[in-house]
Amino acid sequence: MTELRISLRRVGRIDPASLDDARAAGAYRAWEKAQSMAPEQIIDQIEASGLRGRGGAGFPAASKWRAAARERAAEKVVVCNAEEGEPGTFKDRAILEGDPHAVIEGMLICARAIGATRGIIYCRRQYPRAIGALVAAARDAKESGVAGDVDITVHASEGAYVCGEASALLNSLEGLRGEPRIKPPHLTQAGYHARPTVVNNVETFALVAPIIERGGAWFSALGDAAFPGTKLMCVSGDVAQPGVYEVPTDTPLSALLESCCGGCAHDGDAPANLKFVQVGGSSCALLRPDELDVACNPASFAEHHAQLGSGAVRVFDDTRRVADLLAETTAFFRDESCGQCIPCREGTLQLQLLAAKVRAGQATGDDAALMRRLCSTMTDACFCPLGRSATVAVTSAFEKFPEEFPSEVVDGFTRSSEVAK
Amino acid sequence: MTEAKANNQMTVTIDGTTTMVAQGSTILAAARGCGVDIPTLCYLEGQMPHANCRMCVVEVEGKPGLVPACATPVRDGMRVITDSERIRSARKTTLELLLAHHAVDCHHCLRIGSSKCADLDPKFCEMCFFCDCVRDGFCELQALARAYGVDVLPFEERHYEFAVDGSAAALVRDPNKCIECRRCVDACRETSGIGVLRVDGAGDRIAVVPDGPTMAASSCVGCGRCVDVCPTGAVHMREHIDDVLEAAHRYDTTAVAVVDPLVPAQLERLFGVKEGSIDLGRVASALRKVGFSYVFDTTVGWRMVAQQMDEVLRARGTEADVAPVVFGLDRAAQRMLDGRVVMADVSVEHIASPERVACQAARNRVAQLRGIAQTDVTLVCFTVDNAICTEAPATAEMDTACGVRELYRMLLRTGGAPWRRAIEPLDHLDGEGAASEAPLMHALNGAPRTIEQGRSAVVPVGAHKVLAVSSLGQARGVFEHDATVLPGGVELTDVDAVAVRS
Repeated sequence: MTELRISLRRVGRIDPASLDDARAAGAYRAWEKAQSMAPEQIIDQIEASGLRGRGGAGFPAASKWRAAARERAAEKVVVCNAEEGEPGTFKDRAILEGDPHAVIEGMLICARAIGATRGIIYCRRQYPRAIGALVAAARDAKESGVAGDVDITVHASEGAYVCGEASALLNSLEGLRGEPRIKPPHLTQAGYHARPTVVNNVETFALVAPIIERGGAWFSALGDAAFPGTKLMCVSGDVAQPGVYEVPTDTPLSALLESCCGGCAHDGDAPANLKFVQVGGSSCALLRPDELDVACNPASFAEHHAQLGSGAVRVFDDTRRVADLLAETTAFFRDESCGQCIPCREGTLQLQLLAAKVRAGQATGDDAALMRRLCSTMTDACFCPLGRSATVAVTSAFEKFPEEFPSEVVDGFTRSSEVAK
Repeated sequence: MTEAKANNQMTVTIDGTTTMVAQGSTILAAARGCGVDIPTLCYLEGQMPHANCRMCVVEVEGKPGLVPACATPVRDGMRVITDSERIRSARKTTLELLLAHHAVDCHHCLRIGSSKCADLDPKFCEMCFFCDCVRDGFCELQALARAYGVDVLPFEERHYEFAVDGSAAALVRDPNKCIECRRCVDACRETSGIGVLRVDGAGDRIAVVPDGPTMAASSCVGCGRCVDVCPTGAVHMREHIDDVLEAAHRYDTTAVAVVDPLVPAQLERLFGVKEGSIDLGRVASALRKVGFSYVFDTTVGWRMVAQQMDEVLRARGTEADVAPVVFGLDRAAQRMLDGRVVMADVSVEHIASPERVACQAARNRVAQLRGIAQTDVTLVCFTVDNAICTEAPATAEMDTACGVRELYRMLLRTGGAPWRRAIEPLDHLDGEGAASEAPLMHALNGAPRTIEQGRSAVVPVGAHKVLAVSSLGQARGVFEHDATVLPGGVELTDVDAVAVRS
């Protein structure tokens, strides 16, 4: 099992500060090709490639682009989501710091496809090296004339988790509170300052140029048929060799962990026994060691009631406690809730208080039953995916690791709550 | 079906009832149109939906989660369920979450059990005296908590984290009762065009804050629109029930009430009695029972104000090219007009509000009738306009101004049921003035006090054409030549004057 580097094609091989270096390694060849293509042809190629968003939701990129291309507007905008706030995720950072031109080239191609003249990269302030690299790359692309009439700027954000949600990101860009918007209208109709806007993830944009250069059919033949291509996986925690790995989307997780990462190792040192894995970030489910045959694509994860999400893989050995992870995860969501809707604002607070009780071993069956009801309400009623998915790790922990909790707590969580009359 | 689509109509099935609605309607509008009630807390008609309270969540066939009815447009053939075990559970849990972070000072008594409140048995009352919230009985959160049977709070409670901001003379903010629905933020920014209030912080640290360290040190002009829209007691007018009742019973002062003619209709709504069961005569009777010696109404104030405006406009001359005079008819409007250059070459005239004028006239009349000093008269104005409550402490004409909500609570306290009282005539007040007050009063005082800005109206005052502007947001629109605010076909140059009420 080896890596297949497409979005990471130049990372580590070039000087990210040098446009000439990047061009010598093939940067902007696809952009030149795209300029000779009609916008519809570009979108057709993206559609043929089956490229789906790499930020977590997995929405087909071509559908977004086509919707924005259909809109008639004086100005359209391409936005690159480099917020990357999901804990354990650092894949975008690898691209941004190692090959910023890959992202800019993808954005330029998208701009041509939808008829945009403006590109904005929304990058978290916690990535100063990435911001520096992006600013320099955008300037070089503009000054050398490569970028043509597309104006690409970099916005250093404050780094709020909820701003990874595209509409909250645009609100933040506009100087408003970083809170998700009511949809419709969809962002492809009215996004940044009500202009038709395409928002894609860093990894998605980095995959665009190879698709244009080598054709959509080439890409669609790679990996899983429904989610073709490669996926960046960020492995961290108790593994021998943590890091960012790019693998075809049909690669089993076990192969990634064994062949690429050298297997489970406590704090990365001594070999250890794997206890559980959390893939996709804090908003995603836990996996048992016997579920690692799952492949790196959303459909395969769905079979295990789990999510691929952003591609973060956090590995925990048998010295770690699931209850600790829950306490940490719920505290994270309490901290990152924007406070807009009641079930999330108050629910993440109460979920954190309850999870702290579970960790301290003070939770009763009633507490667990309440937790279950709170999880259902948050999943059903929250405004945006942040609140709706804040409960996923909790629910999966009780379902998959009942042996980690006192039996009355597990019973309380699994029995349907009588309080909800 | 084809015919329906041609008319931009859509079919939607709500709880089994199929109905036709216009394209672009929300589920909430469609449901209310066919008589299905969906609970709401943050939604306010005429305001952009925020969909943040999640009380209006409903099931839509084919959608995995629940969707907010207030912000979800109807699609053709959509099937909606507005009440189910799942929906009720989500709404109830949301209310429990909210109440766990809310200062529950009302008869929503968590010891006795709120949903049993209708048959509250006093023998269980522990006399904690926490049931003193100004919104007890007409609070939207309390009503929903009762409807959904929230009797015990399963969640950890955090009730009194914030200091109450009572720095302003009349307007009190109690952040412990705020549910962050943002109605007040919108009212302040949209209806009044001021923008004092904003949302600050994130997550459970979120709060609505003024643009200064306190309300008194903020740019608030005191229009009180935020109080009208608040669903709870998070922002309210300061009450003076004890002071008023004391004054009404003292021998060394004569208590006089001046009542706005719109008070009875609003009292009917608060008491939940049917339309037409309370009129000014019954309110007068109830107030005399409380201890007021005289009860007048404010109409004479409007007549005298119309007269003053007429005189100013006549003195100005009749040249066609003179810019209109702008009248600020209450203190909030005057503060707003003082705070900005409305237009070049426009003269701004401040006239005391009709309520103040009526109170002064009543004071004079009573002092004369009784042969006592004016200072021996205690004058209480009962108004439907919060701006009058905020201007009362800064003006000499009235000693106190009470809103309708305070009058309701005063009558509850004293056992007065105005709809059961005999109709008594009001005390008569003569006001000199040839100009008719009726059109101006109707346009400014009768304007619905909702969030909607609506249009201003041109009314006659004497021989002059006056543009009546009934909110500060509308005023801003007028001075910015916003065609959606000016009446159709009217330019600012067409009128002799602009009269602004907050």
